[in-house]
Amino acid sequence: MKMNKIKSHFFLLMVLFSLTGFYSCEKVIDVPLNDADREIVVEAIGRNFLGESYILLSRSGSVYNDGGFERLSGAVVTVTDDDGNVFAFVEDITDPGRYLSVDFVAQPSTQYSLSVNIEAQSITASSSSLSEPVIDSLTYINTGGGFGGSPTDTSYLLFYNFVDNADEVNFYQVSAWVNGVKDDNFYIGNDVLGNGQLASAPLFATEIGPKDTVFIELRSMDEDAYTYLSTLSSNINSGPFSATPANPVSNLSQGVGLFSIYMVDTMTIILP
Amino acid sequence: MFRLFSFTFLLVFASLSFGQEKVTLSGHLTDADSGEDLLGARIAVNELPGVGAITNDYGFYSLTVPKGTYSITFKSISFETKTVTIELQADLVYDLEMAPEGRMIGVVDVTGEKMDENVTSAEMGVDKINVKDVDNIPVLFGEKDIMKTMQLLPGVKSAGEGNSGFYVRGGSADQNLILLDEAPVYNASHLLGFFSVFNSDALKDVKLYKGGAPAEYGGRLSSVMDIKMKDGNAKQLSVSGGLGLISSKLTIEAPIVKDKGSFIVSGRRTYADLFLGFSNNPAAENSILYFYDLNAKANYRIGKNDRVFISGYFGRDKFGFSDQFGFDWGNATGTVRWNHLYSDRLFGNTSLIFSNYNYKIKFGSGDESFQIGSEIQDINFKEDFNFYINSNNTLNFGGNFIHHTFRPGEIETGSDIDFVLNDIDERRSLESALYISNEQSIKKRWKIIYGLRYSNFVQIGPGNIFSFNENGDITGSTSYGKWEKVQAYNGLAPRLSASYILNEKSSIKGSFARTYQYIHLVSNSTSSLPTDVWMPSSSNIKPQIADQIAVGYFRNFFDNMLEFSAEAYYKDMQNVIDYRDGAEVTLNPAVEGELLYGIGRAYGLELLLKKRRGKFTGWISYTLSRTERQFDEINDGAWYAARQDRTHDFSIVAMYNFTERISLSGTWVYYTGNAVTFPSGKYEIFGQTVDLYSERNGYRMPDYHRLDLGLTLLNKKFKMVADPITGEEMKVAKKFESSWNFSVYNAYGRENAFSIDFRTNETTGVTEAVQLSLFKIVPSVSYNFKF
Repeated sequence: MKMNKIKSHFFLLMVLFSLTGFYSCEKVIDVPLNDADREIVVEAIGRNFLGESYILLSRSGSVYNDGGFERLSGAVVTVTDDDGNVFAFVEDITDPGRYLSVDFVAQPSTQYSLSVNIEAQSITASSSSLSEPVIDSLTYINTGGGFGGSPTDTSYLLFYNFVDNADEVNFYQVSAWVNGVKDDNFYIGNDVLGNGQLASAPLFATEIGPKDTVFIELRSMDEDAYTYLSTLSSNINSGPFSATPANPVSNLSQGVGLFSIYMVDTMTIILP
Repeated sequence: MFRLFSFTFLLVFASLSFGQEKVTLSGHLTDADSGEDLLGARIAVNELPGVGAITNDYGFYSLTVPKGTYSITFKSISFETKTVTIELQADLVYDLEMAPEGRMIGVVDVTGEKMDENVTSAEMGVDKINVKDVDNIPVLFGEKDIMKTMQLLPGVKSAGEGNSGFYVRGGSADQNLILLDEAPVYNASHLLGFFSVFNSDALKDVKLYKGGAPAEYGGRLSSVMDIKMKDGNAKQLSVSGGLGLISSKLTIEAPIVKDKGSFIVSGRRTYADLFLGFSNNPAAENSILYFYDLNAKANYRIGKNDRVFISGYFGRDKFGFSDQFGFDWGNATGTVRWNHLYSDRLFGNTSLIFSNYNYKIKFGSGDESFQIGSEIQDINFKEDFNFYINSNNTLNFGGNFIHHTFRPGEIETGSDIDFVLNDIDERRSLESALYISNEQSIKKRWKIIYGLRYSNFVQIGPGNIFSFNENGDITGSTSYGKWEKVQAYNGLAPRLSASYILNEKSSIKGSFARTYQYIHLVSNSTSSLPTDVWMPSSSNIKPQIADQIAVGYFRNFFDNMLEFSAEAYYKDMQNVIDYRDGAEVTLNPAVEGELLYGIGRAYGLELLLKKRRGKFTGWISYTLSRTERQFDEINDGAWYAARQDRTHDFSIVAMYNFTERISLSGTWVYYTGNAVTFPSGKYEIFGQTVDLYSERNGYRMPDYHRLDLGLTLLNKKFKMVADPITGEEMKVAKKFESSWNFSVYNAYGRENAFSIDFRTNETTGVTEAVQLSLFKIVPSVSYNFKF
């Protein structure tokens, strides 16, 4: 199981800054940028629980624009499964740009196609669901103070454990909520190294202390979604040691964003 | 192949002359003070203009001339020129110890001898640095670093602020072959590149070939940096050392048997972490952060015709936090060499070379630990011959055979860790080469070095080899047995460089070289990291190929006081590697599917004006260049500027000796900012703000410039002693020499951009371009001694 953690070069930055902490300085400078054409942004997520699926449409803005992003209303949005069942996603009147379905529940091993018609553009994409994953257990080790803390402190490194489905090529995403607050880090992985095996990996970057309640969500998804998330993570983590930044690899016919069907399992642990 | 070789032989032997009976003068040149071999020293026969020899890498020379009596001049930079009259009636061995110039009288202008090698030799695109000469150049934290000094020369560009990595003529950092006593050093940087692994106290000579490297070198596309360690003082025990702000070093050299063998051991360790111990911050107190280097070498002369050398390097960086996290990386190299003189005209060297680079990252401790490691290891058998055919032809030939082992990911877990992680299959390959090269003088005005290098690379089992479709997805896997051939490549690389001497002050030169590179550094980061992994060419990765053509004009002024050169080059590259967007290169068994293959081109003009002698020395260099890449999958298939594309690159190095004991030095560099990709928009997805990009490397970092200053104060070298006979006071050299070196890096505090990030100011909510600068003004002091 290969785990790709978001802040992969964290420890290298530690080396750098412990070396240069006394020397480095930051300042705001003026960098004129050419504005790209505005793009339609599609965040289309289908899940295996009723009422959790949504399609969010918005428009990109310029780098220096801080007035928020324009939500796109008035689109015609449908999701069709491979049996020809059509699910209409209707705009939520209380939240413009968010489109919801009254009856959509993602089924395992099914192919879905998305169709979004807006501003005379037709955006399409397809995504396949895999089998439903099952979290086996959550375990933890005490790592003392961890990075930057005293060894007498208590902090935990949490491991999630589940058995990979040997009959599929699987891709996973793991997210954590600590005391109800979503952790900005997410973890993605695939079964290239451990097909059909017990997968167990730590949440490297999530800070967990005594008495914390941690809610874990494990999502199984197709390769396109995995590719999108892994390329998204390198886009978000720009900095001196990251790769040349580029747009995430999207499965949409045009615009930017992702259409993905997630099969989800969750589990909660309360630490001592 | 064979036809080509025999053709070259024919050409050479056809030029062997008949007629007068000839005799051979041969021998070794050494430094009279330390017994170190003198490399590249010149031997000229005054009665026969244009006839001469140059000592090889082991100080050996051989010169075949008609019988007669000659006055022969021996000269080497920084040594007193010596002329002797020799009656040559039979073959003669003449060894000479040369005295370092001005060793009793401080700074001295070289005698009127012409130091015009830059004009007369056929080599071009070569930079040589005598390690002693760079002592006074100011550097970051006062750590002398030959790799940083190299970056002040035209055509060589720094990989970034304070970084020892470099780019040569538009090539990438992994296209430089860095050799330490013939052993490749796979990761030449400490602490993310702020220091190189080369402790200059242990080094003798550095040569950088930027193009047109002779046929004996191969394996990398852009350049060869050939670094030679000192052999050790063969005359007497000598101890030298230095105390600096962040590191200290100590070197011990001594004869094993006087004038027969010697050794050197040199060590360096940083102690930044010792200061962390005083900190009140518990995080700092529990941190481990240091590196060390150890160089050792011994040589011994067995009889007149044989000599053996053993040298090794071991260095490591260690970073950690209490016992919970550890990260360390480093190189180990070893070279065993045997020089044998088959005759007074045939010199041979046999080498057995070992090189290893690895890193280890460890989480947790004891039973609850988890460790990831990666490694590359080479064993190389190499054979080289120098055959001094006659005074107009020197033939070099030889070959080598390397066994590479690549272990991209080895995982160890403690017994309490119950998850299973598999190692990534190791890869093995064989790389071999044969070369022949002749250096020929024709009618006094022409000098030509022409050669051929044939190289062969075979990827061998055991292992499962994946195949990929054009999207980089695995389409199949084939299992291979031990030593079974998976894929083979070979290449024939012609090398040619020629000079035509216009007059005694000027020459024009031209060169052509093809180079093949079979192993590649897989890094999706914009700076060099210890976790970057080397990958062999394979059924999926083709070798990189480059062709470079260069022309140059060389002219010396004021009796060779000033050297000027202008070189222009064009380089064409095939199968250069980049990565798919968001490629995962660490611990990925299918990493080959993440690679993209494209083409590259680089061209430029390099100007150098250098003053070598006098109280004031130094140089000015300027490079005007462009380097671009084209990949079908990147930037919509359009050509784009490579990261290291810098239009202008300018450096000034000046050293001034006020008195025998005080010298001042300064360097100023200016270059166009790197090509960089900036966002052209942004949007929100999954609750995060994400940048939108439109063009690869379409922007520039701000221009970079920096001034460094250095001051060296030598303590008195002499004491006054009354002559026991005459009673007169006279100068006697002190046994103990010491000096203080003060330097300031970035003297006018220019805030050069290390990176630029676009982010939202958390208090104002406004998006800003935030520039990170390192090293505003860094003063340092070091104390060096020698006895």
